[in-house]
Amino acid sequence: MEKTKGKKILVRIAIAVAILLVLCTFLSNTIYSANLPQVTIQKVETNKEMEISSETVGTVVFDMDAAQYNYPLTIRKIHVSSGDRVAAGDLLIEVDTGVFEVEIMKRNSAIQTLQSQLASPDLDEATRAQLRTDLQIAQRELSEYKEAVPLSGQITAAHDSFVYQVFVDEGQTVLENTQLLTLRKVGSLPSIEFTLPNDFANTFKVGDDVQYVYVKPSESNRNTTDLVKGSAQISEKRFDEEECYFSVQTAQEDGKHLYPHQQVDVTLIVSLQKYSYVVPLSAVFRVDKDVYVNVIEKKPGLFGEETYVRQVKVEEVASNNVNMAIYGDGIYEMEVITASSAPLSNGEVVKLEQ
Amino acid sequence: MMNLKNIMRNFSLSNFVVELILILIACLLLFPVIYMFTNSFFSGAEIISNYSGVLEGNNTATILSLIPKEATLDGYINIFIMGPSYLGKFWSSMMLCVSIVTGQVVISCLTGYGFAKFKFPLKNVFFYLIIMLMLMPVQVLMVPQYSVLDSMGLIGSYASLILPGIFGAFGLFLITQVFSYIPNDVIEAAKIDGANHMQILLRIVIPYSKMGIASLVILSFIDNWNMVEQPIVFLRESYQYPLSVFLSNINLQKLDLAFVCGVLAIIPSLLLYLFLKDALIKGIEYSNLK
Repeated sequence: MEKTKGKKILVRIAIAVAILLVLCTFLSNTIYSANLPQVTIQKVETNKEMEISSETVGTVVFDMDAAQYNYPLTIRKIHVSSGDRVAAGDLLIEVDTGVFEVEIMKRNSAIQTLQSQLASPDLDEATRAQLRTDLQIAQRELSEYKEAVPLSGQITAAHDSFVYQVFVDEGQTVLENTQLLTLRKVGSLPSIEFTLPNDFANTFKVGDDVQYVYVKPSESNRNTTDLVKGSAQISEKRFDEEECYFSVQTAQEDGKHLYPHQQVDVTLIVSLQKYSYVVPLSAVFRVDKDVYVNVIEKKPGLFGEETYVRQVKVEEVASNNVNMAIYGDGIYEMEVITASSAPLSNGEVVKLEQ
Repeated sequence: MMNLKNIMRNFSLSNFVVELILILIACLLLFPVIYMFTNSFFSGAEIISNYSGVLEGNNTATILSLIPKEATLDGYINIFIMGPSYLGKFWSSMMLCVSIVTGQVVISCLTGYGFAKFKFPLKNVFFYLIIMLMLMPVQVLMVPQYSVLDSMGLIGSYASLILPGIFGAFGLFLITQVFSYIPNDVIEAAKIDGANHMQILLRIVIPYSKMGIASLVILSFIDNWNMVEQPIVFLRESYQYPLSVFLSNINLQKLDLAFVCGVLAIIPSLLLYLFLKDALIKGIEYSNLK
């Protein structure tokens, strides 16, 4: 009897333990599923058009004339100042001509000496030839000197221009090749120059649209500034060793507000192109120089099918601020994770957002 | 007072020594179980600090402690509630064991009846072959089993564990011995009454052999509850592994939960033993009588 009673108790204990374990199984599975990271997925888009743009900083460049000479000069008088408009032929700067006259006299004297030596009847052919050569050189140099220096002492404007900047003062003696002043031709349009790395520059070509943004004083309130947006096309593209140089001709209106060496924000836009495999930028992450996407895979699990995360290395083809064109094995069949409620690791079990 | 007198009267030095040795052996055998049970109430931090020498491979001495500084049920909560991995594998093991034990009992009863009560050519040869199979280590049999199961396309499914278990040699041997103890006269009487062999088996032989079958159940359950090599070899996915494989891995990954898992893993075997322990002892007796 006692044995039977004992066995009955054991059976009841076993049943109670079994019921408890079943309840705990359901409870733990529910808690586990509730704590899984929730992810949003999207299928890789194929043959999708994508607009590629890139942002960089460009420099405004004007077509400028500069007044400089290969010889030292002494400034006597400056007739213009920065911002003045001058017409072709207007007097800009007066320089001391005494130096030129002295130099010309010296050269003329040297030429006369050579000529008198050449006139001597006692010269042999070799000496005579040498003297002729020296005379020719001296005469040419004199001619070049007369062309190179402002003999009249007046430096005038070659074209209708705006005086951009004057670099010298009255009474100052400047060395050779010193810039005296710079002039911007009236009607010349500024261009914006910028560079891109060579491997990225291939995406863009002459004729592609470019937008730029610069600051100008507000017309309503001179104490504030307005952001102005302009647009143009790439007019020149030139490769260098490490970078590619681009030039964009700006609009007439912009010329009033832009100044040389001004920094402007440039956005390059390439016309729409079709790419084989495109994913949202939020699905992509980088580790060092490699690009990865998180894709989901389904495998049988203990309590049915489970969804796992797998990190796949891909190659970047092109990107803009929204999407990225990628390439990789089996990409077209994959569903990428675009958002997650928690950081994900390779092989982690997740659940899909409903 | 009376008991003390009886004890003094019946005292024998030899008995005392034998009992003392048995007590010591019992303590030695029970100590790991008691240690595992008490350590299951240790906190994870305390376990890791006690076993840091083992975990980190340095020369720090391992601290063996039976009493926790701060008893906690965190391990049990982690196992039972925070994740379904342990309980899922528990039910996988239970499903495997119940399937194998049930199948083994059925097959062993049928074949044991044939070996015990029938005469056919080469009966002894087959029986000795079965005994040879029983004596071979399971690792030796795994290679031919894998070939057969692979050709049947069962590798990777639970059938690759269940089928070899059902057709195990030990169950056949044990049941043959148990059935052979039943007097042939009873069977002859049943035949005279018009019973066929299936009726004789179900109504006479099996009821007579409940103890032996019960001992087969418990021994087979314990054996299959603890199997490790077969699941690792025959199953492909880690989620299919039974509890025994999970326990062998958790010692390396989460030592703080290993003690809790160990305590919970012995509960089914313990309950089954407590329920069938009389049958186990009698069943083993029957197998030795012949």
